[in-house]
Amino acid sequence: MTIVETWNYDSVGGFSHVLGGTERLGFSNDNAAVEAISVNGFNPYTMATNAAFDALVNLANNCQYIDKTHVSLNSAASTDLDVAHVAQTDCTVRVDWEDDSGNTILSNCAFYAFDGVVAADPPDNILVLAFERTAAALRKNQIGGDVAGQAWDAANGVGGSAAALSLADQVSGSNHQFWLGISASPTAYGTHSSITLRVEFDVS
Amino acid sequence: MADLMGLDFTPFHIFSAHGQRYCGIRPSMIPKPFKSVVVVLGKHTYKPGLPRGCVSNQILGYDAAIKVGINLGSSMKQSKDDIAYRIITLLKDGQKWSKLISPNGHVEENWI
Repeated sequence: MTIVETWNYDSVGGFSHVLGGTERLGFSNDNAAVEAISVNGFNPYTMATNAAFDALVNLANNCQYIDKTHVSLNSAASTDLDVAHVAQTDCTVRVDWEDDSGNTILSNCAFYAFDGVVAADPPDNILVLAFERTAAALRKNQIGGDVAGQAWDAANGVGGSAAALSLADQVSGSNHQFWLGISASPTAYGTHSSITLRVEFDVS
Repeated sequence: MADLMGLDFTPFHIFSAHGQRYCGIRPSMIPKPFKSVVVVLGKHTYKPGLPRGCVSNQILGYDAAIKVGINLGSSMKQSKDDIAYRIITLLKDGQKWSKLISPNGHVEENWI
C-alpha cells in the first residue's frame, strides 16, 4: 500500500513535468532566466527552478492576476476568470493524490500559502492569489463562507490557513487531481523564499 | 514525488448507526452517521468533542476522516506531522464540530 502525491506542471497544459525533491516553483519577470518581479507587480512568468532559485529548469503555465475577475494566461491579453475562458489546462499546477490501497473520498479540501513554519502565518512579503478549476466550475472563494471570491483578490489572497481557497469535495475514486491557478506578488523589495504552498483534505 | 505507506486507519474505532463495531476501516465504507467514534493512539483514547453551549440531544451522530496535508516548499516529502485524525460531531442543525488529533497527541477543536 502506497500513497503517491505529485505537483505537476508544464507550459502547455499537459502537466508532464513533476516537481522533484530539489526543484522549486518560482515566479519570474523573464521567461529565460530567474529575474525579480517589481514590488506589487504580479508574475509575468512561472517556472520550475533549481533549489537555489537561480536557474530555470522548465517553464510552467502562467496565471497572472489582473483584477478580481480577470487573468492573463501565458502573457496573453486579459481574459475573464470564468469557466468559459479558463480551462484546467491553463492552470499553473495539477496536484495528484492517490492511495493505491483503495478508492477514497476527499472533503474539507483547501489550498493556501504560508511562511513554511506556522500554517496560520502568511508568507513574509509575498501576496499569493489562487483559483481552482474543476471539471465544471471555477472556484475562487476562501473557506469559511466567503462568496466574494477573496482568494483571487489582491486585497485578500490565500496567505495563511484561515484565508485558504476552498477546493471542491471529490467523490470516491482511485486517484484525485486538483487544478490550481496561482499568482504572486512581492510586497517589499528583496529575496523572498520563505513560502510554502499547501493542499489539505480529509480522506475517508 | 513522494511515495509513502498507505494511510493508517487502525486508530479509528467506530460503531455504526446499526451498532456494528469497525476497527481500522475507512470511514467512507461504513454507514453514516456513526453512533460513536474514538481514536486510539498508544495509551490514549480520544472521544468526540462538543462545542461549548451544546448538549448531547443536539447531536445527530459522528463522522471521521484522516486529514492529509501536502506541502510544496522546503521538502516534497510528506511527514507524519502532515497527517491528523479527525472526529466530526454532526449536529441536527447541520453544523459540524471537528476535533483534530495529531499523531503526537496535540488536539485542536473548531467548527468546519
